Amino acid sequence: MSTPAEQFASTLHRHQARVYSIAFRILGESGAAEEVAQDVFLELHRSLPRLESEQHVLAWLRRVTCHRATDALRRRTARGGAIWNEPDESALAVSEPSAPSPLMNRIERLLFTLPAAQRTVIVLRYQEDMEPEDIAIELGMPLATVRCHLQRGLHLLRGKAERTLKEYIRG
Amino acid sequence: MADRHNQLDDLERELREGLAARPAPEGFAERVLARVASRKAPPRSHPAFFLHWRGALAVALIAAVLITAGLWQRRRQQRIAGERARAQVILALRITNSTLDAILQQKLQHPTKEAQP
Repeated sequence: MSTPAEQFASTLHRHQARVYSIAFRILGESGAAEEVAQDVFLELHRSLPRLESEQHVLAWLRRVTCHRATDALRRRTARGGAIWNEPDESALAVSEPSAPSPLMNRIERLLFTLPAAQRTVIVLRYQEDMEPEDIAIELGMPLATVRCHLQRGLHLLRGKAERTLKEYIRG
Repeated sequence: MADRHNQLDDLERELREGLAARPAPEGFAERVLARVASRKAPPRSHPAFFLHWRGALAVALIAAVLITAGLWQRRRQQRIAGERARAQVILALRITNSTLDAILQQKLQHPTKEAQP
């Protein structure tokens, strides 16, 4: 039988990469992503006694991370910060820690060019392997909206991926 | 059509592979645990805060009880003193009454003594 502190530490180690990745891929910036991820775990520390199962913890982490990251994005936009829908990819490559694989690097660069809502839905669909129905529940969005964000996001990504490939072949 | 499906499948496969979880920054878990520990520290001041207020409340309650008891005792003493004074006045009136009665009786028994010049 583990103590609450040990239980929290174990949950933190098990889910830190997941939470950080969701925040990073929604925010597009490692510093802000770490801040959000830390806040999410601090909130989890308060809420952990109320969460009954591992699935409950996982769903809670996904939902709270998406909401906190989206809030942080809104605050940044409201302060007149960068519009992250079309970030400068070269600046991103310099300021952000490099991805563990070239494929991840390429996919993330493409992802950061999408609108935030499409980015969030695509992260939950392909990073978290969630079904659109579950994404709709987690984000409190109508299922049709989730499907629409997914389709539009994939369409945009495909177009951008083809352009990138052509530029790569030409270059 | 089949080509488009293949393209989509390729893109989805790439997304699944490319969006594997990124490792959290070095020392992330330690920083979270440190923040949790630093947040746990302030509650230590809470018992002191509550003890302080509980102490103040206890003192206020004791003071209120003492003041009430003092007031009640003072009013009791005033009432007893008033009753004593009333009894003394009644006694004095009775004595005066009986003295006057005695004088009147004397006068009635010997009416001529005072009438003579």
